[in-house]
Amino acid sequence: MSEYTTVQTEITDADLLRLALQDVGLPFEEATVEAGGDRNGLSLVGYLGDTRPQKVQFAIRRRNLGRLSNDIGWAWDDSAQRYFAYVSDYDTHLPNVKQAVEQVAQRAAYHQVIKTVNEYGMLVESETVLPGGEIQVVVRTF
Amino acid sequence: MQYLITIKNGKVTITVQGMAGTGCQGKSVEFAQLLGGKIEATEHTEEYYAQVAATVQATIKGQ
Repeated sequence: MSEYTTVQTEITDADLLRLALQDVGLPFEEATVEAGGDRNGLSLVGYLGDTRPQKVQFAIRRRNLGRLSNDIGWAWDDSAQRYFAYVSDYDTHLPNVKQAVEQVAQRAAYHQVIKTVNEYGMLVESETVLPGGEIQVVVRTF
Repeated sequence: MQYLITIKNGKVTITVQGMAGTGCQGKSVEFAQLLGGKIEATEHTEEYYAQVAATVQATIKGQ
């Protein structure tokens, strides 16, 4: 063990984000995207039932997060070529919302690692989930 | 060679295992680049420096 690199992954793939949302287990909605059309077809709704200006491709509705929450969502940013999470400032202080967003990021990063391993012909030797939710994957190269 | 990959809060740390001395140089960065995203840090472990020091010492003795 002699060199390590830390990378902040970005969610760039709708399939991986969908898998991550499925892993987290909260019901979510996904916008219907027509070929060449805008991906962000869902409006977010605030805790008072007001429609927010933000539009997203994936949304977890507030009813699945807690009565004081707003919807949270993930929007595709065409210029940055990646997804951004939309969370209201208020909700960033709510443990359940914070946890949901972090879990999605965690699971998306995991799926990104596995996709990369498979694409480049490497082999997963073991996977361990530690009590704090940290995931360790041992990958062998040839 | 193998990688130990640790995923925490969406942040991935790639550690190279099973390569002696400077052979590991750049290997974790290579994997990080395949992964995409923003590289935050690349560092060598204490073991790396110990191996390099041992190599230098052996070279000096061998002169």
